[in-house]
Amino acid sequence: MVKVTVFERVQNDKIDMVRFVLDGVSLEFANAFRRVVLSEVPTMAIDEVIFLENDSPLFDEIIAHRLGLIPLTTDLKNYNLRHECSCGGVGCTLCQVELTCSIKADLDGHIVRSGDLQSTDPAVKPVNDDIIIAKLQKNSSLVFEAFARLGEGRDHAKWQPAQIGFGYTPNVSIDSSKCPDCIDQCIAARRCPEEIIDFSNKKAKMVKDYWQECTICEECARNCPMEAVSIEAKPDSYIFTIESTGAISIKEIIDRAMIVFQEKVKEFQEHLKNKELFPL
Amino acid sequence: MIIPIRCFTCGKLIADKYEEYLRLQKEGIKAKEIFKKLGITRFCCKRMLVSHVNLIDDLLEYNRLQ
Repeated sequence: MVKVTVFERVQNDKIDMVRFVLDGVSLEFANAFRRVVLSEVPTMAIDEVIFLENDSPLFDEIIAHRLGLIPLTTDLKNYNLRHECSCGGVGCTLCQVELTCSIKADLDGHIVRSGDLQSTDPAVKPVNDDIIIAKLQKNSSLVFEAFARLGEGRDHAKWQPAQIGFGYTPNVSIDSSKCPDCIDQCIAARRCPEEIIDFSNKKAKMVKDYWQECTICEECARNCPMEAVSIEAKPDSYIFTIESTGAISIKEIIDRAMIVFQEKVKEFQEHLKNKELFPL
Repeated sequence: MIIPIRCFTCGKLIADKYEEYLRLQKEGIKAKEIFKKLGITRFCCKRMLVSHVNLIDDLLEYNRLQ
């Protein structure tokens, strides 16, 4: 039985993050899910830049690369991947968005921010207006046109929709019958970097919900003089952390990843039915 | 040179947090609390801000267009 338990959810103007426990799946499945999110969920990112004027100390290439890395809010329903678009990859309103910027600095040390980008589609814009693009001196100008396209993380990291990772669920057990020999202090509790071992009643025990913070550094087990601490990973249980860049919401990322994953399985099934390739 | 847009390792956006980081640092708030406020949890993103040298300010002294 697969079970998902969300235990942390942060959502505000700058952070969109979720942490959950995925129970009852194999390590391979968990990793497949992680990799599908990273490399197969499309997002918008600037792909081509035409510079008209650049008086900043940064080269055109550096600014173009910086622009590419800015996450753009993405509307997956209204845009096609470039190679799947009816225009054949030439670039039309169904597969690309133009963003322009025209800045002339009237003060020294003027900072060009993502808020200065003007998009042709209000649904596709930088995730926030404070991202620093370049710095200009008085009377310098920065004028360019940029084209944002839908792309996948497997082609470039700028198209990754989220930072996603997973780890084992820790299961730490302390044999407190060995504790009376350490009266003054618990070395394991002192060594724990996350401070999740409680030694208040002269008996060491893990605090409530310690598994959310434990990084399985094994500092406690290695340093306990009585060898009372043992650490194991819970079988078939993984803690996922997904942090969206802001381009797509976490719900959309997970939904889309699952659709892509199912399509891949279906495609594999079709290939298996081919009697020429698999004469079974 | 100039603060990178994203963390080199994990890809988290950091260029929008750099000025806030400097402002909080000037107020004398401890680094641990600043990172908590900014929502930076991993050490790969922390080193991006901590070890950054903003050389672009020195280069702006040599303006091409006087």
